[in-house]
Amino acid sequence: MTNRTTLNVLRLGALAWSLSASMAHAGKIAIAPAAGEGIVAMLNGESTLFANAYRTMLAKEGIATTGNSTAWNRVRFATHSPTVARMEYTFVRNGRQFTRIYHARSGPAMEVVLSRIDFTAPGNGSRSGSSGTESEGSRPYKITEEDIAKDFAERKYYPIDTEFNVRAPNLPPQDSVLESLATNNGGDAELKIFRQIENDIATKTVSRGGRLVGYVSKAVCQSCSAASVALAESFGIEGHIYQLVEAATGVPLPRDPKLLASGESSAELKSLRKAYAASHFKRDTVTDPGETSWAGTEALEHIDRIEAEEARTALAAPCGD
Amino acid sequence: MKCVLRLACVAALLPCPALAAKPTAVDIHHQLIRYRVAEEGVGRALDYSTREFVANFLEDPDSPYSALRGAPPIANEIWWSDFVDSLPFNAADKPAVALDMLQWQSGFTKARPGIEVAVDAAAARRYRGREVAANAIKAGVDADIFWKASDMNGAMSTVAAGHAVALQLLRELSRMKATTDDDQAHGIKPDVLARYLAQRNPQNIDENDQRYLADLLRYAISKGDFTVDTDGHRQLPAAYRVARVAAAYRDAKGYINANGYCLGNEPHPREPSGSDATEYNRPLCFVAATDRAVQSWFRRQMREEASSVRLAHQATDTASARLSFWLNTVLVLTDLAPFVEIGEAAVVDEMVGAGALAEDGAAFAEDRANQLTCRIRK
Repeated sequence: MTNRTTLNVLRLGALAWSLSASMAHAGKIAIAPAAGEGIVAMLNGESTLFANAYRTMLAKEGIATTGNSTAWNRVRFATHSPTVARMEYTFVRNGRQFTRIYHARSGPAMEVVLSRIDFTAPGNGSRSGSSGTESEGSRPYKITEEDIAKDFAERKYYPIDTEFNVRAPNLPPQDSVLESLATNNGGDAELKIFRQIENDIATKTVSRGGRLVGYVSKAVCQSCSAASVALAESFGIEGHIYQLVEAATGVPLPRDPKLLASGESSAELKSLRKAYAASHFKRDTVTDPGETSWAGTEALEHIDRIEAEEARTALAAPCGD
Repeated sequence: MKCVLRLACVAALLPCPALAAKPTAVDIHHQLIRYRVAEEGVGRALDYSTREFVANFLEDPDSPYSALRGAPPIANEIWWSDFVDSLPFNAADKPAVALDMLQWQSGFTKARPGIEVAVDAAAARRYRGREVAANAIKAGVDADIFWKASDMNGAMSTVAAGHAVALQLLRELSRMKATTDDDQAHGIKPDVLARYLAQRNPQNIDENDQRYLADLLRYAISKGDFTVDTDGHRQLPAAYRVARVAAAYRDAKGYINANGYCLGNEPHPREPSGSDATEYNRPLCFVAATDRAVQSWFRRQMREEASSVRLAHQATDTASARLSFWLNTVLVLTDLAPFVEIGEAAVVDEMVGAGALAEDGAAFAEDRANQLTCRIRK
């Protein structure tokens, strides 16, 4: 009995501390360049999550069998170039600590992205269109009501949201402290997460006054940086956002070792993302990762094809676009 | 003790002068591609398939137990000595060291106790068997992690192998980081390892911890190159590490046939030793098999275990969903690990990114890799 009372006192104390902490501090989220295998690994995981959603959609919607090589170059680019972000929000509720992880990629719904690609154009197309560095979320882009509805409908292509993991979709900016900042960059990965956290606080899914640790695949844009200030001040959130800072092309490498290392990690992540897109997005070969065949004829045929390639000495016929 | 073992292990792999030179951080295959592409151009430098690359090093590329070729043709090429000279390390017999490193990194070596891997009595006790120890030590997985991952995954030994290597990668990352550095700023989460090792119920392994471990392993497999452990020694590419751990689990489980699959350090004479050795998902004498052959076995073993999960559980089962997550989004990536075309395209892409090669140059390597994956997925 005494132990239970002590436990309850401790829980109440922790709750009071967390609330007073959030009230006493306006909150601050520091943004800094970062590098390292742990960060590249996590952001590569984010990229795979969103690329796999494209794989599922393409396979299920019957798009995977159409389009020329130009179209598929654009598909690959659309899957490996967007900014991806992962943010861990830790908060205390009823004396217990919880962490909810938010996942986001920049840009509109997959359907909107794919609708800009002409899958009906005849011929083989050309190789152009595979290069470039600007992602969808790097350009000012206003999210429309239609985008929001489509993005919501596409949740079936992603892993089911859980208490601890949630994909941050496009959300309407109304009634948001971030509204003015979200006007032209509402599609940015970081802003999507900030809006989702704000929404979760409003619905009491998470508590205010928590701690945020974020990782972003590119330098946080100005409006997102301003939004992080608004989020921190409005909800008493403390934390850090670690960003990979791309090395600028055509200029000398930065002298700051942190920026140099960040540029190297950024390049490594880009290479991994590009390689994943190259090996999973090709006409007639796109598979749904959730439907991998592990048994029966299909699985055996897959192994046979791998082993045939291992034994191959002669040139093979061209395959796919 | 561990350091001594690792040192002995590496000593078995490399001639003594190499140890003195410590060429641990040199990615020899990476360097080879960069050198050849810079000298010959992409088309001429990469004018071969995985099979032709393998045939350079193995006496019988079709046998899982093939010996290394005594005089690999690649080492007789007129450019080989210039390439070796260009490598950024010193060793008394640099050409031999370079060749050893290339053979080891490419998965052509075995895990025979006392030959490729040092296994003393203490190690055999820790891993509960000489062959188990040889495979696990070659995979660079510590005994505490090895057994905990097995406990948490039961019969799913291929998934357990993935967990074990991911946990070991995390241990290596945590230890290698400078003590003054901030874990969080590097995305390193040592508490994930501590929680896993303290866990008694697999159902209670944190969902986010599993995702983090999966991210680490996915990254390592996708990178495809070797890693450097906490003692500064090189470890096999991640896909081969996972396969070796799964082989160790298979050996630990034991066999019901009277003879087993090994006779000493060699395959049992009653078992097939050619390309038919892995038919019907038959186990190998893993210590006598090359890393590549163990990986081929792993490919089939993974499918057998995955198919049994689907039969045993409903789709909504949480355990089934977690296993499927590991199989479908991480371990399946090991399928392509033996193909040099994939990693070589990444090296060429990196050269383009660094301005060392025109963008057009990447097209050949990219197409070569894409054609391969297209044929496999079609």
